[in-house]
Amino acid sequence: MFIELHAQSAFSFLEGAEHPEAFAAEAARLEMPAVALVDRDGVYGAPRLTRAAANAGVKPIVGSEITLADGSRLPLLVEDREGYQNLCRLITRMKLGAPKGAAAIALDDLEPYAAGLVCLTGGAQGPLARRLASGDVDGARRVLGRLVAMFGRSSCFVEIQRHFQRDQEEILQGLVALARAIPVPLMATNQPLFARPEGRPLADVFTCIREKTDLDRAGRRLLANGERSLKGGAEMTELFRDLPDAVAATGELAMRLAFTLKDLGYRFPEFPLPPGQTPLGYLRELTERGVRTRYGTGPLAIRARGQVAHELDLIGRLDLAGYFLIVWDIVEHCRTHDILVQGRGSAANSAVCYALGITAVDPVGMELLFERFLSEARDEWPDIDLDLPSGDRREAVIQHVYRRYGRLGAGMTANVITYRGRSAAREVSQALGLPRDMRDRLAKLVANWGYQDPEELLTKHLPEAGCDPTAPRIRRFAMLWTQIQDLPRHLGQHSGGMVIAAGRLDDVVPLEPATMPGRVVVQWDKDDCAGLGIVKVDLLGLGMMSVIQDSLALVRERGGDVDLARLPPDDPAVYRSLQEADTIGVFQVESRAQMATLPRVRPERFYDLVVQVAIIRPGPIVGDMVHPYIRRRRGREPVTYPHPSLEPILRRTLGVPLFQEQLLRMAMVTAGFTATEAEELRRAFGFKRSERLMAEVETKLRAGMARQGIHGAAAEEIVHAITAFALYGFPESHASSFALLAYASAYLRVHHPAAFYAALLNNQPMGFYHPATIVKDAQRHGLRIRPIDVTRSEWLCVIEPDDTGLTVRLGLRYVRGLREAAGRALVAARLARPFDSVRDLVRRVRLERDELETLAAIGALAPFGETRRANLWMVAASSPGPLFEDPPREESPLSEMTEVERLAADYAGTSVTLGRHPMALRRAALRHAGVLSARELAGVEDGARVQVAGSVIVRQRPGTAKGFVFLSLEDETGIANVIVTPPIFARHRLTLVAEPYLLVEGIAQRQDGVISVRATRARGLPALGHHVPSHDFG
Amino acid sequence: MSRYACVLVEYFDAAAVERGEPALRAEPLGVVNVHNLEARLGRRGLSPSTACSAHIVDRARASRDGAPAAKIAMIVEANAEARAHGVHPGMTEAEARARCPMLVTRPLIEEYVLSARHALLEAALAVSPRIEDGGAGLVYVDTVGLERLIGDPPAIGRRLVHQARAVGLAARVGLAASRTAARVTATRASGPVTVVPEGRERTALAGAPLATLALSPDLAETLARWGVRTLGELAALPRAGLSARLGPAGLRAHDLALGLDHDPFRPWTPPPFWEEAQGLEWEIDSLGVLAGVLETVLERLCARLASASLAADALEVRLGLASGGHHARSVALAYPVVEVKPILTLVVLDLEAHPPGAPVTRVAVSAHPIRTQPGQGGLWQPPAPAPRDLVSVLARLAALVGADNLGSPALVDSHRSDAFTMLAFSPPSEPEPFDRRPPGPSPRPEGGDHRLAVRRVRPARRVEVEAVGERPTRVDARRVLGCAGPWRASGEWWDVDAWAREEWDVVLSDGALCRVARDRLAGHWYLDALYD
Repeated sequence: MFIELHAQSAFSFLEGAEHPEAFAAEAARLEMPAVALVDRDGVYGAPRLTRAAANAGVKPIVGSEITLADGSRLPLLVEDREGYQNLCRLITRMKLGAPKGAAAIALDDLEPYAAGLVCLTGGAQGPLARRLASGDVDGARRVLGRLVAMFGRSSCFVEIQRHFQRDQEEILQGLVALARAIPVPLMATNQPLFARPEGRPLADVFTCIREKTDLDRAGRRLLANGERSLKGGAEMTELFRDLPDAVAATGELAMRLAFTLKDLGYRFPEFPLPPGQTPLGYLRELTERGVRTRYGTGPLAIRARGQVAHELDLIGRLDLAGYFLIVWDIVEHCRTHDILVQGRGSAANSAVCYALGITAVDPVGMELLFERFLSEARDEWPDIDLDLPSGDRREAVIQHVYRRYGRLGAGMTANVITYRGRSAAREVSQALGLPRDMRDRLAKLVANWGYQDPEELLTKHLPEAGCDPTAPRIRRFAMLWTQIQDLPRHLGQHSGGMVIAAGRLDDVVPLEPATMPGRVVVQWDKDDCAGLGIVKVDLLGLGMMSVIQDSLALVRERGGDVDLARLPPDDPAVYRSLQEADTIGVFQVESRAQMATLPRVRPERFYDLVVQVAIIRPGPIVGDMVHPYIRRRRGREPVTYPHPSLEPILRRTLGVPLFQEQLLRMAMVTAGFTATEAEELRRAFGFKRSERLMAEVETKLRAGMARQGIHGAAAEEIVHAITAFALYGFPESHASSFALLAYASAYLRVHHPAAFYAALLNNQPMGFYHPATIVKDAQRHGLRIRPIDVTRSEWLCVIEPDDTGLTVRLGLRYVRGLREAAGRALVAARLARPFDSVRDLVRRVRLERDELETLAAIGALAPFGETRRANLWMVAASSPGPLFEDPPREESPLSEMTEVERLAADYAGTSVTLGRHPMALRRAALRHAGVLSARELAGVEDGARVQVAGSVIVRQRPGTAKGFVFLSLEDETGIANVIVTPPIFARHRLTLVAEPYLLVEGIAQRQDGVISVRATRARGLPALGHHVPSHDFG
Repeated sequence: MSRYACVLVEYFDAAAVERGEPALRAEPLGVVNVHNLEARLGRRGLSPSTACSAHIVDRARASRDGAPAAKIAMIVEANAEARAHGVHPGMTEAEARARCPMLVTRPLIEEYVLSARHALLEAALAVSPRIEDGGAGLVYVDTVGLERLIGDPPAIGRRLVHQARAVGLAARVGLAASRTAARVTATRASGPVTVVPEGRERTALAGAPLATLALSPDLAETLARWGVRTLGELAALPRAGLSARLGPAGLRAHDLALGLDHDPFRPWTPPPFWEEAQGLEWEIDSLGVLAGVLETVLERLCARLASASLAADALEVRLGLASGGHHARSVALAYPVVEVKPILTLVVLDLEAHPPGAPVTRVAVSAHPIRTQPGQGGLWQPPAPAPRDLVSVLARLAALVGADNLGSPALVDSHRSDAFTMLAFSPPSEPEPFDRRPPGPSPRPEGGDHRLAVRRVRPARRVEVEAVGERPTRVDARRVLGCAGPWRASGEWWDVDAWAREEWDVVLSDGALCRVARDRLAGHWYLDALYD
């Protein structure tokens, strides 16, 4: 029996060319009972191999190939948990003790980590083979002796390989002689880099990427042949027929290597409790306190107490009290340090989380289903994600967790960066030696927005990029580009996922330094961690949290007071703005698609907003839930239910299932499922669906319904609704959490516009729109935005009062090219003493010439009394220096800027303009040509032929829209929406993609007050030397 | 008084194409540059002894002869008609066609452009002996003294336009006191000839956009920021203020805007014509007699080269034939040489190998001249062979083995057996120091002292092999008593030259120990080596 004990996946970055799962599948096909994944300096792929191997009926063996200080590599296999812990600690020590990418360890330093590990001597890069290849037989013997002394005679094997290479055979004979002389058993491996021989080209491409060369120049650095695939027992037995013991040893050793990741030894950290308290007791105490605060003696208090008792009972049974306490501890830390925090996701289903202040949505009042969050069926930790203001405040919370649990007790989860469209195209085409401009074009071609319709095969578009699709290298490009998709490229860190452990986390998984100082990253991503039962807390940065927190601070600065927890729940002005789709800058409902739906849904209360957040998602759109819901909401279709028993569940969403919780409840009511079984059903039909599980659960569902007396069409309708919807549904709790933020942002926008817009501008880039659009939106709402002014502007945008009320002063951060240090120095110098002239400013603040010129060009120096051009003329002359007198004042010979020039200078220098919208400058000509403004468009009849024009602020080609393209054209009166059908897009592709200003002819479409133009023709308008930037989305 | 004329041909690459195909003037024309991905293997030498050598050489030639592996077509120039349809340089051909479906495209051929450029210069030279090459499609002409020969400035301009038209180029001519003024005038002119009256340069240039001065991007950006859009606006700025802000570059720009041009005039003279020819009154059908004529021609040519301190590194021999046809040969010289004898030897050897098809009636030889750099040899350096001897030897060797098989072989970094490339032979400039000799073979691990010698069979001989599975059992009807292997190698899977090879060491029934190789793509077997 042969077992491959040295397979290397793509987690041996840029060497292996295969997913770990492929090795498991191929091992099963070859009837190999076990396979070992031994990636370079890590166990990155071990969880994925473990999962895939379990499904394929193959035993996964964990190991890693360790880089030694002399550059050779030593494969180590894990025998037991002690060995695994040693391996993790060893890798952590290597990684944390060296700059990124340079980890290595001296042979002698291995000794403390040898227990529980089995050592092979490696392939061509092993310490023995390298010495033998250079003729150093004595050195090889010494190293082998040292390895035997460290790992023991029974745990050290001389590894031999045969890849049909002549020079390898000579080394093999040397290795056999060494092994026989000491004696040490032989071990045959093939060290596969790919599962099947077809994987060789990709391995060669990886070699080129690694060596920064191309296939024509890589020479003998490429593989000599295609023999590095996973080979079966018969083939290896034939290959080593002269050394049968080497093959037999693999099977014997594989039986010995009993460790799997199920035996990880992970322990959850213990929360420091008050004396005499148990975790559950303390949690109960905190929760009861919270229930009193949240519910008091209100109408929901009794129900809330009952729900909390039920939840605490389950939390106790699952021994999760410590987990809740840890999350509560983080939330408390945020509260005490004035950092806005809100739990999102399914945690909002939990009354305990609500009582502890982790979430802000009342699950009792909203009748949310706790079992979606936690059930006995789930064998992983519950998922509590915390939204924090992005930037420094979130980093402060992350550092708090490190401090609390120790540098080796906590780590960020990894984010495996994989090869995707554009990067994959660049690297593959470079390896193929394609010329630079063609590489650029191919990269652009494959990444051209998100949408790929089934007919739009890559090869069909290759001629568009100027490529001959029949040329061999181009054909290879298409093949390799497809093959490389989703293979790991390198390890990054997840934006907010943290794992923590009792004791040392590096006993559980190796740690690596992150690029960001003060952080370490574990070698697994969040799914791997969750799958192995490692507790994870997601500390996610949310731009809108920053905006809300900053807005509140600005309101407070001006003496106002807004309490987020006590916002009026049904503010009419807020709902009016939502109904009118006046939502630029509002969380979650500002997108073009949301705006197109808001007037149709017409939210009137908070729950409508919850629905609104959830409905414009790929799931409901693909599942065709949107239109039935809107029809029913508008009263054009009766509200019906598949079965009367479902009415209480679906009543709130008018009979249309929109949320995952409804799916669970439907299964519970119609088929008598327990909450746990319902959750199993959701998972069976979720993203990681398995045919076998789906069939089983469906049978169970039908049987359950039959027992409840539901048969025939009704049963079919329910089964269809549940099974089709499970894939797409959105958790109601998550939608509720987001809806809270959406409401809060809409409230601030309506009632405290100065604070809201200032905060929004200070947190750019974020959201759906460019600052230029946000500024124009603010101005259309009557908010006065004042220009950048070196005598008044701060680094950030601030609120200034004037006769008309509050205004926003643009901050110096909007001066393009101005260094933050220089901007802040300017503000500090001004605080010390106001500037009295441009020369005074130049003398006291060390600004670069181009920074000064930009300030002059945008009018930021105007308060000193000169025009923009006069200031440009002044700052262009060299400063005489502090020792000399200022030269006499010189009259500027330059003519002052025209309005168009000012506009261009504003966009070039700040990316926004406070002057007239560029379209206003053309309005007379456009009106003469019969072109309507966005406001005028609102008044036209359905089906009318119209012309609209504007700067393109959004181009969108969503994957769910079957090739349709949506454009938002902004003018001085508002935004017009344009729909482009695939044939029109194909005809005007260049114009639609490239032109900054468009004039579109088309047919007006009016639906429930929402008006859009279905384009029939489009042409570009001259840009007047500047354009408003556009956000383009897939 | 106009001192300079500027002859301008717009969109010159396109004009060069139209010169060859005048009918295209009325069509939207785009000149495209096709980026060919070089099939790099085509540059490599290939071992004829490689087991699958024939197959590979053929494929390599195929890729050398064309069939680029990948290509991308970019518009590098467009004529006025195409530009009116929105076609501009920098677009891909696909983009250009999207804007102008009736676009006609032609590839950019450097020779066309060069000859058109040369033709324009020569046309100007026919009017004035002092001209300056201002770049593709741009010639400055010093017109001083031409009035007496030709007439007033408009007449000079008309003559220049006429001369350009005679060589197939539609030019506009501006005449002014400075070259810049003349160029800007020509650029903006609507008619073929525009004259700027003396002293009116500043006024004439005032309305011209700043871009016509082709200033550095930084300077142009600063001026644009200042709102300076025309030469008139630039000219109106105070000189001292410009100097304080923009330094010498600003002052130069100011001068140009005023129509003042201080850059020196660089006269262009036509390159010398290194050709000698001899017409014959009788027909020559013997190489010996022809050699005598060639010698006379070469003596004249070499004397001219020597007097200009030049040597020839390539020759073009053109023989007029009695049949009315021509026989042309290019003879590359391995070393720049100006002596008649070695050149004659080379030419005769070449003609021996490639004789003309009919008696010769005319002989013409042109040389590609280069300037030689005489240098002194090192004191400890062995005397190098005289260049003429070396050239003769190399020419004889080339005649014997073929030019492709002459040079210094260099191994190619490849898993392919015997892959090598041929480098042109050149004598070493310095002797190889003793301590820089190539290292000896790497020491090998212990394996006994008895080692076999390998004699490679070059070229590899095709053999018939019977095999059971993959293992050979008979080679050319001789039984295989034992074998080791296979050793496999493959590569170049990414292009047309993919190869895969397998070697076996076999002991044959007649006692021979040899290496046989199989081309795994073609299935052919070869005898690759014998072991002693």
